[in-house]
Formats: sequence, C-alpha cells, structure tokens
Amino acid sequence: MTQQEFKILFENHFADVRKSVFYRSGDADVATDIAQETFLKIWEKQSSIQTEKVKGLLFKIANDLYISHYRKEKRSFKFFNSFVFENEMQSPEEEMTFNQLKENYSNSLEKMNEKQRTVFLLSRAENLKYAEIAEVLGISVKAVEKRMKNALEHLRNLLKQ
Amino acid sequence: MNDKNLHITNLEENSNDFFSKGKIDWNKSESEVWAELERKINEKPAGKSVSMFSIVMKLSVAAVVAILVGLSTLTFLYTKTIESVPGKRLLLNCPMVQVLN
Repeated sequence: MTQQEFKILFENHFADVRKSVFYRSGDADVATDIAQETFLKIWEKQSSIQTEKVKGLLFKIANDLYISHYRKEKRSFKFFNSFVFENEMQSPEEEMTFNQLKENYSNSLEKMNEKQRTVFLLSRAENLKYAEIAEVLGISVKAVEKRMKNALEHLRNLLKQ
Repeated sequence: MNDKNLHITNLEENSNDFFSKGKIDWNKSESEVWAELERKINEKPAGKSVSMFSIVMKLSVAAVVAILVGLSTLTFLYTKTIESVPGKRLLLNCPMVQVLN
C-alpha cells in the first residue's frame, strides 16, 4: 500500500471509525486518539490486509484498542461535553425545557449499560440503520434490535421519574 | 398497540428529534489528524513482511533434515551388536574400527 492509497483509505473510513469510538466512549479526544492509532496499526500491518475486509478490520482494531486502553478506567460518560447543539431557542421557556431534557438524557445515558447506549446513540445521533450498526459493532442485527429495545425501556423508566 | 409501546414510540420520536439537532464538536479536524498521522508514518515506515518460508528458509530446513538423516544412517550402518556367553571372547571387525569384546 502506497502512502497515497493509505490516504484514500483514511479519507474513506476515518470519520466512521472516530464516530463509532465516540458513541462508545462519549469523549471526542479519546475517539480521535483511538481512531488515529487504529490507522497507524493498519499502516504497520498493511501487507497482511485484505482490502475488501478493511472496514470491518478498522472497526475491530478500534474496538480492541478502546477496550485495552480506556474501558478499564471506568470513565464517566460525559456525552454532552462533546455533543453540542446549535442555539436556536425561540424563548427562555423553550430553552429551559430543552436544558431540562438535555440533563435528563445526560443522566439516563450515564446510567445506561454501555452496549445499549452505543446502539442507541448510533441510531439516534448518527441515524444509522440497524444493519449498519451491526456492521460497526461486529454483532448481529438481532442483537442490535435487542439492545435498542432495552435501551428504550431503560430511557422510558428513567425519563418518567 | 398497548400503552407501553405507545410510550416507546413517543420516546423514539422525541429522541430522534432531540439528537438530530446536535453534532459532535471535534477538537481536531480530519486534516489535522492526517497531518499528525503522516508525520508518524514517515517516521515509522510500513513494516516489510518477511515470509517464514522463503526459498532460502526452505533450502536451509531441507539441508538440516538431509544432514540429520545422513548422520542417522551412518550411525545405523556402522553399528553392530553381538552377544556372547560369559567367559567367551569374540572378535568383531568393523569397517572403520575394530572392537574387541
């Protein structure tokens, strides 16, 4: 693989890899570092890479790196530190309602099981279909459906409190 | 549809609406990350694959096996075991050395 080909690979897949780690970790810096390290590993191991399987491999490497480097630290999930909203509020009441909803979601996401949360955010914030989420996470569509159902149940219970 | 499912449907709509208004605030742009990555890959060129079973390796293994087989054959051919009853002397002539038993 030449550097030019590697750059094309980076341009095609970096954003997806970085976002997949972000929705798992809730930390933009962590996501960027892991995505960058993932591509560095691909560059180092390029001779043994099959181009048709490279996307799945990228997600797998990123996932493994996330598990080995960060999961053990049990960081708190501060999703809304990096996930921002454009301020389009019409009135103070509307802004107050929105902030309340944001706080509720923040608390709910922090308490949610990591697997369910990742599926939920990839679906809602990234608007991915279940089959696409399954590809990103390396699981079956059935498993995605189950995690999503549980995530919605969890949110329903927490948001009504 | 029961009440529970209705609630989930509302929640789905709400959450879709809520999260669609947001975006990720990356501290580094893709071009910045690429610049860093490019510097790193220039410092650390791609690993060159070395096949464990290159031609030279195969020949080396074959040569070692041939030597071992040859030595084993020689040892086998130049070994002779004889038995004698106690008190009897036997004389054996080997091709290379003579053993007096």
